[in-house]
Amino acid sequence: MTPAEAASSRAEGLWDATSGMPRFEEPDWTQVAVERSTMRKLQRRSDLPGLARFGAYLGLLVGFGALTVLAHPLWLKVILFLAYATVYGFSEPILHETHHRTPFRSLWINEVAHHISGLFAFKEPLRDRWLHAGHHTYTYYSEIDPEIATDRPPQFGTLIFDFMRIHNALVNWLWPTIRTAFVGPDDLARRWVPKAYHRQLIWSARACVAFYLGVIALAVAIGSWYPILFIFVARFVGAPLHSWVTFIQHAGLEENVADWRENTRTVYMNPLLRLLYWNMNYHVEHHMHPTVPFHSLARLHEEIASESPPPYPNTLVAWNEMIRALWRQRREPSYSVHRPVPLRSGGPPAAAAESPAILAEPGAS
Amino acid sequence: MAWVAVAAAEEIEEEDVIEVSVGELVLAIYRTRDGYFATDGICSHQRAHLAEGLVMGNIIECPKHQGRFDVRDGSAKGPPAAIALRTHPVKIADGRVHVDI
Repeated sequence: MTPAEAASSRAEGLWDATSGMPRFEEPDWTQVAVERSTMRKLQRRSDLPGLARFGAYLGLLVGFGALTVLAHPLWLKVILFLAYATVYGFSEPILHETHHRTPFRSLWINEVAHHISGLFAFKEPLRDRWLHAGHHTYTYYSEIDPEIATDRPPQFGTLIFDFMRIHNALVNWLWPTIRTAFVGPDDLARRWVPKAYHRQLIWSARACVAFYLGVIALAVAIGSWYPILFIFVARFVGAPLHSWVTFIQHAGLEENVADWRENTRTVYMNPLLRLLYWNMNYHVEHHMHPTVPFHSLARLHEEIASESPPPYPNTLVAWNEMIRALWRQRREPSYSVHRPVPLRSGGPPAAAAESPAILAEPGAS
Repeated sequence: MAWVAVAAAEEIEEEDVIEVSVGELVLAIYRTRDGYFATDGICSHQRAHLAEGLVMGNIIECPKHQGRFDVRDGSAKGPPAAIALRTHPVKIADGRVHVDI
C-alpha cells in the first residue's frame, strides 16, 4: 500500500457521506502577511511569461525529439533521448501551475496547457486538480493529505522505485484514468470530487485514453517505436531529475502542523532547474500565497524572508537532511526535522496556530 | 431588507475587491468595468477571505484554491468552487456603496 493509499484508507471514516466534505477541521494556517498593494502586484497575471515558459518546454521537446530521430550513432541517439525524456518529465510542474490557473491570464490557454501537461504526466488533469486542492488545505496532515509522498516509517523500496515514477505514474495516476474512463471515478476521486463533476472526469479520462491509444496506433501505422518512446518510455526514463527537485518539497519535515514554514522547504536552485521547475523551488511561498504566479515567486520570497526559516542553499543540502530524517524514521517514526521559524517582532511566535482536531470520530455519526 | 452604506465608492479601484463586515456578516465588495457587486466574503468551498483573492473581469478567484466565481450572480465558474456565493444588491448613492442585506 502506498502512502497515498494508506492516507486514503485512514481517511475513510473522515468523510461525511451526506455533504461529501471532510469531517477533518480545516487547519488555521499561519500566513506571513504581505502589504496589500505589494500583493496585488505579485498576483498580477499575464499570458507572456507563461507562454514563454511553456514555449521553451515544447521547443526543447521538439528540438531534442527531432535530434533523437536524426542522430547517429546510437550512443548519441541515446544521449539526446535522455535529454528529451528529462525535459518531458517536467510536465508535472506545468500541470501543477495550471491547476492553480496562475501562469496565464487567459483561461483557455491555461486549460490547453493543463490538458497537454496532464497527458504527458499520465495524470488526468481534472481529478488531479481536485486532489491538489486537498493537498493545499491539509498539507502534510498525515490522516488526510492526498499527496503525502512518504509513510512513517518510510518504505525506501517504494521511494527508490518511484524515483522513476514507476509506481506513481502507473498505479496512482494512469490506472485511475483508465478506470475512470471505463468504469467511473475511483475511491479517491469520489472522496475529493463532488458528484456533479464526475461526468467531466469521465470524459476527460476518456480523452486521455483515446490519446494514448492514438499514440500506439500511430506507432503501428508508421511502423516505428518513436511514438512509444517519446510518450510512454520517456515518462519513466526522464523522471529522475524531476524527482530530485520535487521529493524534497515536504518529506522529513513536521507533520500535522498548520505552518508551511515548518512542513515545506524552499530550496535555491540554478536557473536551468528553475526554468524547468517553474520556480516551484520557492515552495513555502507557493503554499502560503498560491495566487502568486511562478514568475513572481522570487519577489514573494524576498517579501517574506524575514519571517521565514533560512532557505536551503542547494538541493544537496536538502536531500542530505531529508534522507537522514527518513532513515531515522525507520526506528523512530515520529521523528521530524524542526525548522527554525522566526518569531514575529514584538508579538507571539508566528507559528502559533494550533493543530486542528477531527470534528467527529470516524464512524461516530 | 435594509440598505447599509459600507464603503466610499472611490475606495475600491477598478478590478479590485475589499472586505467589509456588517455585524457578523462578512462581505466582499467588488468593482469591475460593469459596476459594483457584493457577495458573501468567505469562499463557499473552504475557509478563505475572498477579498484577498484576485479580480479579473467579473471573476473573483479565491486566494486559497483559486476556485472562480462570477461576482455578478455568485455562480461557481471553476473548480474547486462548486457552490454559488450568495450575492447582495448594491447601489451607489452620495459617493458611497450601499448593500442591501
